[in-house]
Amino acid sequence: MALNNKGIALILDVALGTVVIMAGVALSVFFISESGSHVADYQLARIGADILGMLDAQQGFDNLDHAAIEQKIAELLPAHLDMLVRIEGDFEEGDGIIEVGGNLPSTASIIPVRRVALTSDDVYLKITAYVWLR
Amino acid sequence: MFVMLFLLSFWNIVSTRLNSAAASGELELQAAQITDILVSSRGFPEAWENDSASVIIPGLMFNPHNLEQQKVDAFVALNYSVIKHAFNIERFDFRFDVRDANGNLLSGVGVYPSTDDEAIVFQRFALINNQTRQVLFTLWH
Repeated sequence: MALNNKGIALILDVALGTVVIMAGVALSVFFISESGSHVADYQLARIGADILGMLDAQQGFDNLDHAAIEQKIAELLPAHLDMLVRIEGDFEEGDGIIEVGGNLPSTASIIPVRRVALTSDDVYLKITAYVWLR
Repeated sequence: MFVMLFLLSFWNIVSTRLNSAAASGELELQAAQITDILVSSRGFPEAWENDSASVIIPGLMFNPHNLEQQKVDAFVALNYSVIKHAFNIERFDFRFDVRDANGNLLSGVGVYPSTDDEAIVFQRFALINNQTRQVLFTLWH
């Protein structure tokens, strides 16, 4: 009877050890795959920031011209990406909010990028670009 | 015995995948960091393009979101191994391209990967002489 108890204890010990090892491996796989996706997200964020930065550097936000901003986005954005630019500020058009670009998806992961700009008329703009994979 | 064999074979498969994922992660991170340095810094020393032999870290920025054509020209003229040493990527290979908005190659340096190589392309956008340019850095092994 004592031998049987030892056997059961050994089996439980092995089972517990197996579970612990499996959990450790699963956690390692999870964290490594997570770190990979952060770089992909960073790539999207940088592309969004670059496009906003270039538009700002070329005074693209000064006249709040939808068509010009949309054309620039279409010109620059890689085919596998889509983007929505939201411009908020103290201006009359659209009650101070203008949106240019695609429609926000309900399923894809969306990366937001923020920038503050000052127009030639001294109007502060809060600009948010949302970038996602098509 | 059965449990041990199962664990060993399982660990072998998982460790292979982990190593592969870690290598891909390192490749991605290095490509992202190098592209950031190139696009967002002037390099060290700042006027390294005037004396290419003095370069410690190459950087191409003129102003934020603007690159300097002279720095780009000096960078693509640098020796391949000098660039690899500067960015501490001797164990990898790379290709650097500057393209226009339509994707036409304007200048570049390095070696393109073959289809069998593991490669990561990091893409940025910047202005050169007020013209939109794509900056692509491909790191591979």
